[in-house]
Amino acid sequence: MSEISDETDENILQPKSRAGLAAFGFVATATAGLFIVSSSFIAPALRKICLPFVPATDVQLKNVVSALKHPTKFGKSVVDIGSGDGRVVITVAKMGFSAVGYELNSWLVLYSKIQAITKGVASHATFKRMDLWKASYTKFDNVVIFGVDELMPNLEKKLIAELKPGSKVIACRFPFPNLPVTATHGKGVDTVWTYIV
Amino acid sequence: MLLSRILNMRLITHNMLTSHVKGVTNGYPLIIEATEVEEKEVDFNPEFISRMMSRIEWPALVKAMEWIGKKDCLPEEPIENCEKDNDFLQKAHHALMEIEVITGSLKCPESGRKFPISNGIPNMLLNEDEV
Repeated sequence: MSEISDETDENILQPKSRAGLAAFGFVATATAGLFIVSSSFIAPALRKICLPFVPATDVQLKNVVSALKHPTKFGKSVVDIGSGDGRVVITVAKMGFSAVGYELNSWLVLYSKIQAITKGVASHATFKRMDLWKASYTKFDNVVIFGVDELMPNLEKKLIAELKPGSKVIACRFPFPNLPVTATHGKGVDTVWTYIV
Repeated sequence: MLLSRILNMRLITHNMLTSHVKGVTNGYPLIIEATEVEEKEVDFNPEFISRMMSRIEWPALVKAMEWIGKKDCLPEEPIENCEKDNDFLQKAHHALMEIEVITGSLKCPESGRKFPISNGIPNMLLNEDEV
C-alpha cells in the first residue's frame, strides 16, 4: 500500500517541481539580464565625473540645429560627445553632416546603430564605444556636448588643444568657463552656446 | 528671445572668423571697418590666454588692432614661451577679450561682401545663394 502511495506522491510532485524550476530559471535569467543592462546606466555615477544618460529635449535639439546653421553651416563633420540614444547624431546626419557619436554605454551604442539604420542615415551617422577623454577631436569641424558642470573646465582645455582654429563647439545646458561665447540659441535650461574656438 | 547671431564682436572671435561666401578661397581675415569701439573689463585668466596663444593668428590680430586704431597697444611679433611673461599676456588679454566693436562692419577680403555690426552684434547670416 505504502509503495503505491509513494509512487503517486512522486508523480504529484514532478510537474510542480518542473514548473518551479522553470519559474526559478526565468526569474534568475531576467534578474541577471536586468543587472547586466542597468549596470551600464549606473556606471557613470561611479566615475570621477558623472555624465548620466539624460537625453536632449526636442527644444534643445532644435537649438543645436539652429546653432549649427548660424552664422553659417560650417564644415562637414560633427561629433557628439556622449551621444546617448543617438538622437543628436541622427538629427545632424539628416542635415547633411557626417556625424559621429561617442558613447561608453554599449547598449546605447547598439540602440543608436539600430536607430540610424531604421532612419536611413547609417552611412553617415556612426557610433563608437569611446571614452571621451581618450578620444581625439582634431578631425572634427563641429563638436556638440551636452555635459555636466564639472566636465566643462577640463573638456575646454582638451578642445582648445586639439581642434583646428575656427572650429565650432556647441554646448547645451552648461557653458564653458573661459571661452568667449560667440552666439546663444534658446533660453533657460534649453540654452545652447556656440563657441568658435 | 531666440538669438541666432554672434553675441559680440571681440577681437578673439574676429581672429577665428573666416568668410564662407561661396567661391571665396581666402576669406581671412575679415576687414574691420569700425565706427564705434568700446573697452569692457574682463577678468584676466593668464593660463587661458597662454593656451589660446597657439591658436591665435598674431598677424591678423595686429591688423585688427590697426583697423580699429589701436596699433601701438600690441607688439608686432608674439613672444615665444610667453606663459611667464605676464606683461605680454596682459596686453594680449586686453586686445583679445576687452575690446568690442559696437558699430561698423566686417568685410570679406576677397568678395567685398559686408557683414554689418550694430549694437555690438555682427550679422554673419549669408543669403541662400551665397552659401
